Amino acid sequence: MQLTHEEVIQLIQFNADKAVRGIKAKMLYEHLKDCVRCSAYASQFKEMENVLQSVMRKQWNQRPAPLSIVALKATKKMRKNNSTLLITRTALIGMSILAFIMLGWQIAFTNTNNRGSVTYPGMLPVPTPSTQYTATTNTTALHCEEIIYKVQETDTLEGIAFHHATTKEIIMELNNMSTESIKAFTELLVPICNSTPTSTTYPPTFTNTPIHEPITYTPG
Amino acid sequence: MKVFTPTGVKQIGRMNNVESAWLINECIAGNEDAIELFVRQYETDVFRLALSIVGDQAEANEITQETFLSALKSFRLYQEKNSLRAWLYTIALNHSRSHLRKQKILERLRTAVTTVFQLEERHKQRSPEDVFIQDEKEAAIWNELNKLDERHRTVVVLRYFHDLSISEISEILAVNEGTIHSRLHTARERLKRSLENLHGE
Repeated sequence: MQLTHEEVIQLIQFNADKAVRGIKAKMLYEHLKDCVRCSAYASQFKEMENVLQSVMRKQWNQRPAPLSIVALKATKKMRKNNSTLLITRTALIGMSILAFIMLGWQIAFTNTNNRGSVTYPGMLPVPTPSTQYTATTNTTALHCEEIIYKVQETDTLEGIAFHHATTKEIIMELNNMSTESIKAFTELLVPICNSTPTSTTYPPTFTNTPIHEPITYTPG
Repeated sequence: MKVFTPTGVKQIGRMNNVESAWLINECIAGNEDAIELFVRQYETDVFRLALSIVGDQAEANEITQETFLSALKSFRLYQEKNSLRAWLYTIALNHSRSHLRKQKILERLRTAVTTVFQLEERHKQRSPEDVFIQDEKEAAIWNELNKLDERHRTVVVLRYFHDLSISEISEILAVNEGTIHSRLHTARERLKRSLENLHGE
């Protein structure tokens, strides 16, 4: 059986890695004896290997700086310390970050508590009397009273509210109404609020007119 | 350096399996003389492996120290079915590669910074140490060797500089022998071609 040139080239490669044995090795040897082309390849191949080895030796046949065992042991100890140091460092950093987060949380939390009222999105927060402005300015004070209104036959809740510059919700709340239906000739408490200009210093004192002394009012 | 081994006094040469096992046990036990022996036995080889990967002597020395440190730490993990040399070489190779990676990252960072700030690029090429090569053939081969990508270059270096067998290389790189063969074939073809191109053939 004859070897083809391609096979020979393959074998030359494998032979370089000492992976050709027995019959194949013999056949390779025989082929190279007669084939000029393949022997040329083989010799070029061999030359490449030689140059390769020689250049690598020139570059890398250095001697190392001899390791001192003492230094090795010292580094070993230092490395150990370094690893514990790293752990403590990361632990500290982690804990301080956690502390910051909790602190921030607390601050945000207490802020919402101070508001004292539920804020819906879009609504401006209503300041409670305790956090009112403390300035001396010409402002208007809201002075509210509750009056008793006798419902007429043609009245609607909305109409009453509109007439008194209030809202039906306020009236309903004031009178503990569960529905919007009103009965003629019944009485409703209606808040009347006047804004009167004052130049008082704040905090203002809200005067809630006592409910048990209503001013009877009948529309003219 | 003479040493007392289970098989009698001997000079340091290639150790057989019995001697390796004894040496390892002594090292694990913390026997300083054994550790010294172990280091002396292999430090040149480890150093040369590191040097062939990173190209810089100072780094190679560093890597050698790191390698022995790792080896001493993880001796217990060493399984005796593998050859001691191959195991040590694997550790050395891993350290060398991580050094190379750090270098690459630093390089990328440097290029990034210089491009962002439009600083003048210092043409500091990280080229392997160039001993003055007179022979043009050697220059051609050396050039081509450094142009090879890491996987091909490593097999060539392990095979031709460290004289390792295919099975040892396969063990060190954790890659099967067929792959080693094919990588060697490709690399050698390129190296051979570089020589031929010299003479304009």
